[in-house]
Amino acid sequence: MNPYPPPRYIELMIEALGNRIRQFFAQIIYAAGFQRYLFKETFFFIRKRRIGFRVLIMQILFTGVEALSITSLMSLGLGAVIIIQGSQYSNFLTGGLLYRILIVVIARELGPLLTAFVVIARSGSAITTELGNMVVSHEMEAYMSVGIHPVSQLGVPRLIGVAFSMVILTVYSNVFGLLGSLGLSAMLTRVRFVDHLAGLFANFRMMDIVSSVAKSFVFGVIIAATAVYYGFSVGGAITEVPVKTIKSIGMSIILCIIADAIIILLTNMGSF
Amino acid sequence: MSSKPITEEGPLHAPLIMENVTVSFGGRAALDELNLSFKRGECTMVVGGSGSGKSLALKAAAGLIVPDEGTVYFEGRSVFSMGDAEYQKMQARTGFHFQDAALWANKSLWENLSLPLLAVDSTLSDDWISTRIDEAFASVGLNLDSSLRPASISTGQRKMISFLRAVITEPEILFLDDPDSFLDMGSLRKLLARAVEFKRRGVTIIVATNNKMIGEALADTVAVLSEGRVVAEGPYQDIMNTDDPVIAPILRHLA
Repeated sequence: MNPYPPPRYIELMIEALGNRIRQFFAQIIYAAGFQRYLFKETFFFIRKRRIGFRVLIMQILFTGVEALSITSLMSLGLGAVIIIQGSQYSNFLTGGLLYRILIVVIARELGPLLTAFVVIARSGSAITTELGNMVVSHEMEAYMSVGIHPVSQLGVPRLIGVAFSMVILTVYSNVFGLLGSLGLSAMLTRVRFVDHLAGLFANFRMMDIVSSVAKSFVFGVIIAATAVYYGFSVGGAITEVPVKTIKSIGMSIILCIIADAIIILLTNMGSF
Repeated sequence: MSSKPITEEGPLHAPLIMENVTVSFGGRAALDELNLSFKRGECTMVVGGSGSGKSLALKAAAGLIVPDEGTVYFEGRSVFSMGDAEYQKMQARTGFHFQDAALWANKSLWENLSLPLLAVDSTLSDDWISTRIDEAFASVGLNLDSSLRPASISTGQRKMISFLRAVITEPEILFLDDPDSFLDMGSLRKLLARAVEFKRRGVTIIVATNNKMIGEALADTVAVLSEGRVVAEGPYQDIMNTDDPVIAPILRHLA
């Protein structure tokens, strides 16, 4: 009889694979339950506003106000790139195509997406880190011990704050990016700024505004819900905080791009 | 099973019952089929060496962690099958003093103490809350600016604020997790005096500690934990005077 039986590689591999699949589905079910609770509690926020209102204001201040300078600089840069690259082609800066390209690129597509990336980098990562640290220092248990659900107290105001801030930031960066790029174009050509402005308004469609606002709102909800989920999923170790933060950022970017593609498909249904 | 019938060990007599509570980490049972009942108006002292599961037992009893198996009954209702509203009402009737204070770091001391009150009644005025907080500070001899953040005060003061946060709503059940850690003797005596006062008013107290001074002042019964299991349970004096070969060595390490 062989005293050293061969290792059960195949069995171990199948067992490990089975465990991974089981954990994956368990995580999906947990995440779905968590998000259901988060959204359910969001509807009841007005009832508990006195407790969570300060968190909401601080979130709007951090996400919506303190990010204004970086998003406006980014959208101005985006507009300037379009103008400078476009100026190499004859009649681009004086033709109607300029306005449609500016609207599509800044307002409808890249504006909301780049703003979302800024918010993911600043607020999404900050939310996951802060909530994760609170889990480690037992602050979540302290909320539960006084009869306040930490998801209602900490998750809901962040969800509302980030979604609201994303819409405001996107509108602001759209206005700044469009007007800034038209100003630059007016400096490079003989067309007056007011004429550019009139051309811009003439080319604006209702769907441009709807698409921009819808995207920014959806991105805001995705960023906040993802960041809150990963923040709460930190276990007891401080080393888990950066790991969950990285996962939160990666997942937010993926989900925003998927949502972007879906909204593009929905808002361009008639074009296909 | 979500409710327990009213018996001698039922909700009227023992408002809090832990039944076969098991909590595991990485396959190892930190609490192993724990059965404890806490009688109304009595103080139970939970003792045991480091890693015996004292803090975990308190958190499970308070419904702050969900056990892998078993349940906790609060007045006959399983804590983990309660709806949100019922669970929050239950928590509002209990107070938990954390071993590491667990104050909310980004809130002022005033906010740390006002939040439990607002959780009970969100219509309370700021003036009323401020008066209540001043009284709480005075009751333990604290003289602090309530606008300070927890990071601006000492660890011992944070522990005292954590105690005040646990008792500011005048709970019916009070959990004290290692209340003597980080406290000087003077502060511990003030904390104990308040705890004795609460006990006299009929508050059920569950304290996890290895400090005999706390036991002498508060405990009616003792539960001895070892490796997540109850190895002995009974009246304070009986347990303290035991010469049982398993229990006596554990109790020898009490401070």
